[in-house]
Amino acid sequence: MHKTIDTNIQDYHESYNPNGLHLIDARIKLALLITAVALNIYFAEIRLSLILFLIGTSLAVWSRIPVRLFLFFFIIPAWSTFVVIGGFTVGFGTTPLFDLGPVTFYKEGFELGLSAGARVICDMSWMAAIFLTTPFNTLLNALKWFRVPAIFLDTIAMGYRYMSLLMREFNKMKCSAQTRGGFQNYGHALQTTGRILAQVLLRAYDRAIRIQEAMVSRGEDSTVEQKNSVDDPADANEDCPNQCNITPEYKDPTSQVVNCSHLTHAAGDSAILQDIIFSVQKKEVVVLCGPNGAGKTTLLKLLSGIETPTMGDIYLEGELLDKKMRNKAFRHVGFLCQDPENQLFCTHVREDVSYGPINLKYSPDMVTQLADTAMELMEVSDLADRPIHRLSSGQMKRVGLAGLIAMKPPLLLLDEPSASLDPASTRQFIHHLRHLNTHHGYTFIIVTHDMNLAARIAQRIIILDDGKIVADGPARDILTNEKLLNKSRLEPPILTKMFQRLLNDPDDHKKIPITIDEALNFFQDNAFSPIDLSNQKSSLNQQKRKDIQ
Amino acid sequence: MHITEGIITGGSAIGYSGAGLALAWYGTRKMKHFAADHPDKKPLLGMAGALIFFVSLLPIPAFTGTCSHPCGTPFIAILFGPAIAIALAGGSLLLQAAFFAHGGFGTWGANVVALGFFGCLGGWGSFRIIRKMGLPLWLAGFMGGLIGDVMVYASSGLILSGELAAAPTPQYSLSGYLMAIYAAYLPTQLPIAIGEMVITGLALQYIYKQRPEVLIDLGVVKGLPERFGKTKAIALLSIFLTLSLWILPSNNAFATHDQKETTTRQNSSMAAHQQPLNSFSGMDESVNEAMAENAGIIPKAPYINIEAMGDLWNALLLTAGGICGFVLGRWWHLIGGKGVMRNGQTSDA
Repeated sequence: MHKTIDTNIQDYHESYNPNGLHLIDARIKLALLITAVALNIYFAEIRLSLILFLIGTSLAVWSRIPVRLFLFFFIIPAWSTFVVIGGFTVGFGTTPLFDLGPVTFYKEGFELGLSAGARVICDMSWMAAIFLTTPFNTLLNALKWFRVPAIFLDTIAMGYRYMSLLMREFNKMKCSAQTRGGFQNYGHALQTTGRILAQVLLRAYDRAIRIQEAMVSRGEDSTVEQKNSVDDPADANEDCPNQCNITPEYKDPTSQVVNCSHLTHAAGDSAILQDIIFSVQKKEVVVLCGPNGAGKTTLLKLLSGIETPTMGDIYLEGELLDKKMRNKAFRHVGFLCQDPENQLFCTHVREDVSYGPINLKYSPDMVTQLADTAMELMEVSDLADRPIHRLSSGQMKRVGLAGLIAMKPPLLLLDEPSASLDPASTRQFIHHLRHLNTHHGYTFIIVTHDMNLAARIAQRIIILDDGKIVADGPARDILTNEKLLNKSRLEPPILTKMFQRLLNDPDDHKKIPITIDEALNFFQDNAFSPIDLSNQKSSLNQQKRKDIQ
Repeated sequence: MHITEGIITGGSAIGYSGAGLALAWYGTRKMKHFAADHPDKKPLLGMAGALIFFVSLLPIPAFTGTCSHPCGTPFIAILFGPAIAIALAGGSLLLQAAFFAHGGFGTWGANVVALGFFGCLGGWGSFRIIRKMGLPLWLAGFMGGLIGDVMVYASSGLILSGELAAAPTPQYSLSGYLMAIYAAYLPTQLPIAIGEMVITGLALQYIYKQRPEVLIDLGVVKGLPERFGKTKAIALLSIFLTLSLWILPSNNAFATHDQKETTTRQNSSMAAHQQPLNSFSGMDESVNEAMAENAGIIPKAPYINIEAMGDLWNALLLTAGGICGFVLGRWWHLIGGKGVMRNGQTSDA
């Protein structure tokens, strides 16, 4: 697989390097870099520049930086440096070196150019030595120590995080436009570039809104007091194979986790949700289904306190979700956005997983412990120091979930968790959901169109259509009711559909399997063997051939 | 156009770094106020940071057959205001210096002054003035992109020329280096400026067509429906074209040379006692130079040699000067945001 130089540098950052500058504090390294660059630029002496260059190179050798990565820092400025040397040689001096046509090259200018070149290689050697031994997020943290305003650093961090995403979006749209003649000449190219830039800006604008929602749901600007004791005793999780203590604390184990009473929400004149009444019990897994625009995501946003209902009340663990409670709703509810690019807004994995616990005002040790446990539980510990933009969709989903469980909210709201995941990643994600539910006692409300996923994880299904609840019941009853599902533009799982045809008894819901395990049990109970099925299949094929003849 | 590492040294580097820090600090203060006033829009600043980084890496096809990148700062300044855009440009330049070796730490301050201060202020200022005149969004975007880019080009060239002219044993004066740098960068910078002009204008227009509420939210336009002064736009465009055609190459530029040649011919062919055909044809440069020599003043090359510049440059310079002078003279007070009172009503952008 072809790797870019950027990827190589990040891989190098993630590898274990206990040598030289890798072990030095980032603040000291930053101070050294600033001093070296300032001396180099201020005195502008070729000998000093060369001495500093030798020191920078020695530091790189001491830190055992690979030569090709070190040299990369010299490739980009090489061209401009040659232009500078050439320009100085022509533009300065009184002692001619040689003539090239009408152009005369001067000795003094050449020396000045060499001096400028020495300054460039000196700066580059120091930048290579420092930046190759210090990951970007560590550098930003070091800059905080130098009292650089937080908002400036946050902006730089977010720029670093989303720059490549904007670039990817631009390139995808560009490819699409190219295949349709959008870049056939300069006029078209400029026009298409303007059009694509407008789209990139609009997407960035919308993304900023969704990032804000994700930040609110994870405790941005929270006023929660610091807690002294946060952990359950370890022995409460004897069954957990991970031996982790990240079980959510239910405020009142007897009360419902969520209770919605006559919930109505409207945007302008159009009603999005109408008279929603439902409640969710502790450790329940509820799947929320419905066609596009039914109001599923809006309902999740209302439950997580991101949006305020027009009418009706929401109770989280018995507490009314009013204006005051909304600021600390993230203690009860974790919300995983559909697009993980919006969910993960920090630069690196560990930083993002720690974001919620920091907002909960835990001590630094506790934050580290929670982040480590959550990452271990979601099997992303090996990605802890990786930049977010280098993760796959499946990894992003797992990191997003790790960021939520590190906060230990009893209720987790997942918006389309299987969207853009391949079958293996979906299987792994389902495994994690089951584990969190059965071993740790998390309650889930999951929005999905994927009825096969619903069949595998749901205990209860709610169907939402046109802002109203049209069905609410056990998963089996809903998934085997084809008429009801079709009415809401949904389909039963393929397995269920097949058995409905096979048994030709659609009214007997309890007989029809909805999962593979149930199907196998069905075969065993009914003394149905694969041979019988193959016989049935061959007879069906014979019948088909006869029909064709 | 980034000033490359190693060029600016000594006191200039410290001066420019100080200026860059002051500008970035001011922009950061504005960002703080923005975040305090609109806490729900805090991530928008981060996305703007990503956007400025992305736009400055956006490939624009140049007529020379290559691709280059626009400054991006005029577009961002139009959307988020000049102060925030300067701070974002400062952050972006730091990242570019650290990860792409584009620019450098030693020239960071000078680049913030050129790309940030001049680019943002030029782009935003011209956009605001044209909007205050009631002209359409796309035209304001065009001018914002063009003038912002040209300002970056002009200021970078000026900073670079100043450095070169101040170096020991320079071959040329400040104007000489200025002309040399402008001429060297013109083949690539002119297409980029045109590209940035078109892309900025079209992008704003597309956003307005598709999602006008975004531009209203960012304060780029105020309210709907958008008022397009079509008559004004057509009238202004007609005046611009007429002036351009009228000023285009005439024989005036060669008047002095022609005069010199005529005088020489007349002197050689005519007898000393004969009267010239023209009794007095004015004082030419040779007389000026002779008088200066008699007075003991050594003649120097002019800072801007308009005779050596050629017709196209003179025409462009004159047209640009005329239009800018007219616009600034007529609407300078609108930069501060004060509307023009017409029939007792205040116009807005």
